[in-house]
Order: sequence, then structure tokens, then C-alpha cells
Amino acid sequence: MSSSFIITLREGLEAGLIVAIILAYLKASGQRPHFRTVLISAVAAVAVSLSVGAAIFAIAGEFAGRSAEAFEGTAMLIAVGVLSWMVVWMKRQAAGIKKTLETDVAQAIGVGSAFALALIPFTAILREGLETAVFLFAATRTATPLESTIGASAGLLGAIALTWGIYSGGYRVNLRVFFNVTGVLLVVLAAGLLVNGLKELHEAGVISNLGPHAWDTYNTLPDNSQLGKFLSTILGYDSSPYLGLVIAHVAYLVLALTFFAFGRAPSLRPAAAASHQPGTEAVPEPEGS
Amino acid sequence: MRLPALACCLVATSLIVTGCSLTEVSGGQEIQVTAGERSDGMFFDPAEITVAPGARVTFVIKNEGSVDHEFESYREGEAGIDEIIIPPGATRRVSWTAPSEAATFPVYCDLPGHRAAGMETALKVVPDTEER
Repeated sequence: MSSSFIITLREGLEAGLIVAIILAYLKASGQRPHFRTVLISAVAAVAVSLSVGAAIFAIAGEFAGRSAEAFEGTAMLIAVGVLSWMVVWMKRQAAGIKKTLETDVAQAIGVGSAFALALIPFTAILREGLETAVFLFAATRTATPLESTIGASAGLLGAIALTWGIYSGGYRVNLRVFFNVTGVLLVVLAAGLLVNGLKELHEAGVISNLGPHAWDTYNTLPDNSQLGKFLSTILGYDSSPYLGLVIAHVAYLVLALTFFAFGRAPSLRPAAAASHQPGTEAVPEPEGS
Repeated sequence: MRLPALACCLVATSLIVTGCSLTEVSGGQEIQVTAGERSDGMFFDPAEITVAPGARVTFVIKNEGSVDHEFESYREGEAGIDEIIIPPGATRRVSWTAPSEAATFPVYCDLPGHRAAGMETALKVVPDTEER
């Protein structure tokens, strides 16, 4: 539940900020009639993302036994790759996203193309939506559908509330801190997913050997107890992990957190510092994809 | 004792109690199961387990073999027992509540080749059962 919540909260806020940036620019430049185009394309992108997500779940349902484990393991590793790219690599690219969006919108309006204008929020939000679909699918492999649904819904509602609050100028959120904290949390979640994905592939027979068991802490904290299951879902906890999994887990955490910490910081301005022209300055840039 | 100190004691006690229940795998009758390999294949002993409808039981599975084994029954229509890996020489506990109606489920080791080598036991839910 926690991982689904963090995913939809962060991805939802990123998508929301993209819409907010575009709407704020249109409002400031006297182009309010284009609001409808932007909002319709945003809804369309969300609908396509939901369809892709449903398709992934439907395809997974077609597999059984060892092939299901192989599919799930592969999906988890893809989710780890997507998430790593999103959190680490995009941090380096995000510095100019606000300016890029505004320039693209200005050009689309300049040539009078509603389609070109609609395409800007559509592609940006679709990217967020597809990332969320892949990651949620992977996360639900280690949690019950009810837990995942509650977590994802709560995260999405939180993202909508935050976006609306920021856009309307009511909330003053330090987005740099928000994205840095959720970025670290997502790296930790991805490390857990990496371990669970490798385990699935091992059980499917795709990976033949992960080495000996590194230790056994079952008598202290069984991984099938309530607390153990929770930690397994979030962190990939295993009472008696294979040495190969321990090495992969630690190596991923060190590499991802190092890139995250030393990647180029985006030029985010906290909403608290934003100001005099409501609707233009009050919407800071999102950090990630 | 002042109120804040009393509150701290209560919180600490409840955390300890809650923490213990969160880390336990127990409940109901314990059923001992042995897993391992022998010359003609792999096995769970007993090869058949019988429980009463609605009974809460805890399987205590000991791996007496020389390789990893699993204990699970989680596919569609099965008992709903999540897989657990049992390293050689280790013991694992799995709690489970039987359905309220008669049924038979396969419980098996899903590691490649193990089930085919005979590593499966029949988990039977039978009315009027007192013990396996």
C-alpha cells in the first residue's frame, strides 16, 4: 500500500504540475480559451494510461505457473529500470522543463494548431501515466489488490489536492524537498523491487543460481510474519537471502543514491518563494519526468 | 507517576506487545511436516494432511535435505498458502485457516523439477476431523 501511495503521489503531482505550468502560461498570456484543449488532452492521456495499465494486468492474467513468475519478474526489472531512469537521469534534465513547455506552447499557439497544443500535455502526461502503470503492476505483485488500490487512490487524491492547491496559490510547498524525499523513497522501493524481481526469475528457473544463503534471521523476524511481509513488500526483506540478491540490493542502492545525490540539481524554486504574479510565478518546475 | 510518564509506559508496552504479534507466525494446532530428498526422488512427509473445516493450523516445516525447498499452494483454486523457501537444515512456520467446506488442495515445492520429483502433499479439509 505504501509503495503504491508514494508512486501515485509523486507521479500524479508531476503530471499535475505539467498541466499547471501550461495553464499558468496560457492564463498569463491571455490565452484562456485554450484551457479546454489542454484539459481534454490531459484527460485523454490519463485514459490511455489506464488502458495500458489494464492491458498489462490482463496480459499477466494469461500466464500461469513458471511463465507467470517469469513475466512478473521481468515486469519488476523493467519497473526498476523505468524508475531509475525517472528518478536519477531525469533529475539532470528537469532544469529547463518549465521553459521548454512554455516555449512549445507559445510555438503551438503561434502556428494556430490546436492539435500541436494538445500534443504537449498529452505526451508529457502519457509518459507519467505509463511509468505509473508499469510500476504499479510491479508493486502489486507483492501486495494484495485491495492494499494497492487503497494506496494508489490515496496517493492520486493527494496529488490532485496538492496540484490544485499549488496552482490556486493556496498551498506553499517546498517542491525541491518534496521531490528529493520521494526520490530517495522511490530508489529504496526500486531496490526492493529489484530483489523481488530477481527472486521471481530465480523461481521461474530463468536465473539458475543466486549463490548460497547469506544469513538466516527467520527466528528473529520471519519474512512471512505481518511485519516481515510489510518489510518484504517495501524493502525486499528476506529472512534468508541469497548472496547474489544481497550484492544486487546493496550495489543498486549505492549506485542509484550516488547518482541521485550528485546528479545536477534542478532549478526548482519553492512555491513558498513564488509570488507576485499569481498563475505564473506560483507554479514551480517539476523535477522528474 | 506523572501522566506523561504513564503515557510513555503504556505506549512502550503496547509497542512491545504489538511488535511481538507482528513478528509471530502461530495459531491453532501445529502440524509437523518434513521435507527432503531420498534415492527415489523428493518428498513431503506426511504425504497427506487432514484438517477440520474452519480450523486454524500452523505447519512447522523442517527441511532435512541438502537443497532449498518451498512450501506453497497459492495458484487459483488452491489453498492460498504463499510460497516460503526453506533452506537446508532450517525450519519455517506457516499459519493457515481451512475453508468452511470440504476440499482438497495440493501443497508443493515449486522449485524447478521438485514437484515432478514427488514433492507434493494433499491438504484435505474433512468434516468431523479432530487431528490429522
